[in-house]
Amino acid sequence: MNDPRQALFRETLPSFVNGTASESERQFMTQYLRENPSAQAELRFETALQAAVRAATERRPQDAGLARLLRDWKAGDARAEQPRPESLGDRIRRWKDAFGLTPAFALAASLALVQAGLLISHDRPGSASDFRGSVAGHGADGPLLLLTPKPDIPYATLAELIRTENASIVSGPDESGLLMLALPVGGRPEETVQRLLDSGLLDDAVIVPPRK
Amino acid sequence: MDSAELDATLKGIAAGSQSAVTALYRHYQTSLFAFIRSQGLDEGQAEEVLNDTFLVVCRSPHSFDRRSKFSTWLCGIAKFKSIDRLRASSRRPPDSSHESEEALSVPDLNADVLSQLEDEELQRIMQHCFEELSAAQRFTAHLFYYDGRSIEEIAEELQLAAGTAKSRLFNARKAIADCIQRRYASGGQA
Repeated sequence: MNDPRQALFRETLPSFVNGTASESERQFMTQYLRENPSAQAELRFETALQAAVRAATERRPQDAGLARLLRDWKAGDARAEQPRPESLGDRIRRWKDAFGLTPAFALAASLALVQAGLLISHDRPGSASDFRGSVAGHGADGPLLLLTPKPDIPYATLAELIRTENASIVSGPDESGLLMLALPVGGRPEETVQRLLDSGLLDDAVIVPPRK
Repeated sequence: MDSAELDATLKGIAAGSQSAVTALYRHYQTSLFAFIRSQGLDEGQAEEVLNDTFLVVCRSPHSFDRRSKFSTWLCGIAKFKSIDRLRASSRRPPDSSHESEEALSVPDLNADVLSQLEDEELQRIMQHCFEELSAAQRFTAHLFYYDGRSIEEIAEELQLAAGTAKSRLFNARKAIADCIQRRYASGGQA
């Protein structure tokens, strides 16, 4: 392509058609099209492409999922008015408070409770078993952590905290906000848990025992 | 939806307003659905993720912290949800790491081919060819031709270099031009 005006025409054509070209670019394009009738074929291609993209987008009914969203949202409101089911974190804290556990024993008890939770709570939405199912086969080889974020913490803040630990989200957040993280292979889960708790963003963080 | 409208809508959702949920959904669903499709999900899965994403927003509208554009934040949630969905179906997210800015080229259009095709036929083939684009190319074309965004705005939205966004769009156009030539040469069978 040796003609610089043709090169500029082709470069500017998409933004001319989608309406983001500047005023001077529009003037140039209009003049070029007037002087070069053969360029109409390229304009035709571009406008046909725009029409095809619009047709592809509009083929899906615009309110396809709105009724479902409103129904699920209302259902969530109704659930929220009922007593909140006790989360894994709640149960662990209740154990700690009830038995005045030392930190080391509390950790061991927490692990046992998590393991028990993994084994028995198969049908409660948002339970650890939901995560366990999604972990299987996902390829996370490092230690796994289960986090209970404080309810008012923005997702972006949490994602940033997770990034600083080089961890990756294996599953979640589920409806109650629980998140499963995988640490890098060789990561020190106890130290990570302590740092995560020190952040003040979490209600709880526990290490998930490895599968037997 | 400008910042004031968005604030009012989110406040309305927090107060339980169904019309606020409807307004938010209608404003963002088309582009969000296209974004979710670009993550490698089929239409059914994308509908699920779309619903899940809006539910997160509608159940905690105050969690938007305004450190990014609302649409970017929305796509961030949708991306995590899409990854979860892909993991569950043992599929991998689309890989766009091979893209470079050097791939930029202008479609080599055969004007004779175009002149032989009636508008309706061209449109039919064009729509078929559009569906053959990579997910990332389709979404870039959607942002450009449907939303009417500039290359710079697309680059910001997708967190790409402007050159990469531009080359993605140009490569999409080239792929469509090639596809049209191919289909025409084979008798226009779309």
